[in-house]
Amino acid sequence: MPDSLLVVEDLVTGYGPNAVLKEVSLRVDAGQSIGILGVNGAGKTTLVNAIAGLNPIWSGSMLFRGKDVTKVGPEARMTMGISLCPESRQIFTSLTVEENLILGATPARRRVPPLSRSQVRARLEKSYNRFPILAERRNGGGGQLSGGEQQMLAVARALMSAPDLLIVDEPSMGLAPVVSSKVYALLRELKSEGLAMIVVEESSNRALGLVDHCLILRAGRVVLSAPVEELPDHSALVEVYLGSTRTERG
Amino acid sequence: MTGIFQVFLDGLSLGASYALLALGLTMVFGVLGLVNFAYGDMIMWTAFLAASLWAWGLPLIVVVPLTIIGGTLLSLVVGEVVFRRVGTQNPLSLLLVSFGLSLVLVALAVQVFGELAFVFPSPEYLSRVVEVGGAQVSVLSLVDVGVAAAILAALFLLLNRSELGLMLRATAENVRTARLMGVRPKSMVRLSFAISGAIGGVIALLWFMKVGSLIPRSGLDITLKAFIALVIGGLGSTRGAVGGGFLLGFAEAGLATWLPAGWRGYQQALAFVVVVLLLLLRPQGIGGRVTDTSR
Amino acid sequence: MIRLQWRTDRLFGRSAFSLAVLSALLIGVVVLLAAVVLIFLTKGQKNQIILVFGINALLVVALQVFVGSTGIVSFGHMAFMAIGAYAAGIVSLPVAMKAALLPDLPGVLKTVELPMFPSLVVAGFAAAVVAGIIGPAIVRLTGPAAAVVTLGMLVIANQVLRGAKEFTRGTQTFSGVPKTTTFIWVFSTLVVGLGVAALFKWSSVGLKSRMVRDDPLAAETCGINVTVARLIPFVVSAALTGVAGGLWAHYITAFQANSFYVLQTVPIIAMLILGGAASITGAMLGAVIISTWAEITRLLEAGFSVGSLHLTAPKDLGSLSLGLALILFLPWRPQGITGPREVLLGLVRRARPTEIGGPVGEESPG
Repeated sequence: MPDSLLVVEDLVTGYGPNAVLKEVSLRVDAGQSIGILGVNGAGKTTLVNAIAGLNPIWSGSMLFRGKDVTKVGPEARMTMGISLCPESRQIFTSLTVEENLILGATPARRRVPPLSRSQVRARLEKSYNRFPILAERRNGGGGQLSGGEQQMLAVARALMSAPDLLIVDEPSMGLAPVVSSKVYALLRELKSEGLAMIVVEESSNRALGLVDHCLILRAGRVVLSAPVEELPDHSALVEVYLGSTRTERG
Repeated sequence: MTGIFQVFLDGLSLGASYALLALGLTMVFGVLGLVNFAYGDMIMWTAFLAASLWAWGLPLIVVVPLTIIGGTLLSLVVGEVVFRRVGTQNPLSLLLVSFGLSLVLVALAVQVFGELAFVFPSPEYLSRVVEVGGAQVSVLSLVDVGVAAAILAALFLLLNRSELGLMLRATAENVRTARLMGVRPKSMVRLSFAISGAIGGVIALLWFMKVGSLIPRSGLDITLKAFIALVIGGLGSTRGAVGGGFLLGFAEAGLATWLPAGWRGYQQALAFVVVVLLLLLRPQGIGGRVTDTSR
Repeated sequence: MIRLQWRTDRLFGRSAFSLAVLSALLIGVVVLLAAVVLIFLTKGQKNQIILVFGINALLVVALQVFVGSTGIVSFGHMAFMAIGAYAAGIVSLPVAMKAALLPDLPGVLKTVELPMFPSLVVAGFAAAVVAGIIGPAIVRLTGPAAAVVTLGMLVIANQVLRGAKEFTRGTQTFSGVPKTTTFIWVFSTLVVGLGVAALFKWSSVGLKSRMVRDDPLAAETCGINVTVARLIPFVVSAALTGVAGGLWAHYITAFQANSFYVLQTVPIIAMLILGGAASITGAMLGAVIISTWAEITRLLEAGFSVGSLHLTAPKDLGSLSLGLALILFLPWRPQGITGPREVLLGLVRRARPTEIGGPVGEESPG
């Protein structure tokens, strides 16, 4: 078995008394890109939040680079090499664009050996090269960027810590199709550079065009897990997505 | 007829203390959501520490840093022992717990120090009055302003030009996302308590040197002033806190000087009325944001 | 079938409403009877304490009307008690005394000398008017800010009362108020107060206030005026507190502005918060528990003998223990003992099967 970057087994978690995820398992190998799809409420965001450590894991286990991180908090997971671009980006509006980026490097500053200040600066410049629009707005407030620019910033911020695994939650949400394409072009570029990633999307087309492997969640369970080439045809896919209308009720 | 410049200086000196108070409160509020009702009482305890150190004959040069350290430690302990269990979910619970803490601190102080007033000594040279631009001002007032300016500058540098400050500001805005940046909220909470306590130590010295005497119940007045300055400035805004403090200081100085004699008894009340009017016009205070959420 | 229940604040139907108000009145009657029994048992030794408890209970219930429906903790309600006390005092002081003690009273006030009932009405009215004037400034603020400003309100009231020598004798004791408060007055007012609290809570106005408490933004989109929804309980609460102030004035007969300050606020707030701010039952429960505890600490502070040992508790044991209670209890149970639940008489219908499946009844899982 190739060295898996992330192994999640029988994950159960939820909010209050309600379990949202019921025994979800998945695996991400180095360099692999996984798409997590499903309708609203299926548990996609809960899943990636649990992987990032924002939601505590009730039962099941999670291994990252071979280490058990089930009980580890998000700060430590970030330091270990996971990076999450959360749903709706969550750019710090009280900070400038540059400050948002610098903050993104914090997990790397915690590592052994820690990233030095000059190295952070170097990464910052690299980010600006890759995202000229951010360079232009570097001293502006984070909240002054457009939706697409904020998504770029969120990804750039996540990359500042040079993660081994990048998770992006609904990158195209609220963005015009043209802008979404730009975002996906960026993700494709990162993928070609060998970065492992998990992309969560509600609409499948874009994600399926990007990732190697696909996971479909429905009502908190994995109903399909397959490489993209082996996915069933469109109508069958819709059935898997939504569930049969006759035998299942809300 | 006392001139405007005199009032300005008086207001500046008063405002400096109030700005520091509001800042001390805001540091913790920003990160934890706690409006600390016990802040004045914590400062009271720190002042008692200073008074005790003095009574043991230690010189000013030793008392000042020890007091600041004492204030910092007290704040850290309080944060760890009392407020940690409440968590960040419930700002109202935090406020009420701080209310309970205030009761405990005062009761303990009465037990330990009794109800009689302690004379809070201040070095002789601080009470001398000098003339600045035609107005009379005590050396202590000048020190107040100078110290406040220094602390404000230091805090500004910390918050805006340092990595720690960046993490603090991020935590104050959005804890969840800050965690995704590898920031540990607990450390940020501790840091904010430490800063708040250090400022409290400074205030303990400046405030009681000015007032001259200290009793266990002295904390309430401090808390009130701090609260009002905080609310004027708008909760959650450090700039607002500072602005609110100075505004309160100027208002008090102006009222003290220009209020007709018959109204002198209402001086404090009028200052509060001004505050209430301001809040009627602008409920979010000077620097606050316009949202009707629990913060 | 009418049953005693322990349930959260949801009601359906007019009969449920009447029963809810009745329940509150019943609580008052139960407390009244308990007080009578206690007086009998203690052979009249503890009359004072029981009477003062009645006034404190009224204060807590009054505070509950505001805090329970808006979620804003008012640290300044003592201001209304002060206003009520002074108002009652001014209008009921014998004219002869007024000439001596308050020679500068304006016109009508100089000559009026009201008996108990109108005096209490004036007390409540005065407090309500003040609440109506300053209320809009306070209720537009959010949680902690509002609590802070209510504290400021108390300070302002204190200063104003201390300064208004013509009306209040300034910092000197205001004395000579007729001692007309009796056990009956206190406890019947308490019952009325409970009724008012329940009437408010279960009315549509009360419901709207709670909607604003739980989600101001959502409430606004439903067309509820947030300021009004918070202002009404503020005024009602102030009125009841003012009446309590009047009762107090007619009991203690002599007081000053400092009799109604932060120190006196502490136990009332503790009673409400620990008992359960969202519940009238909670308010009463808190009042009973803390008052009992206050008695115990008073006895301990006075000292007692165990064998040959004479033990005295530290002087501020009362506030120390209250503070500790808040610190320890709140993180564990921030909603107080009762939470939002009330002891209510409720109507329970038998279950009826429907087409959709499952029985329907008026019981809620509460």
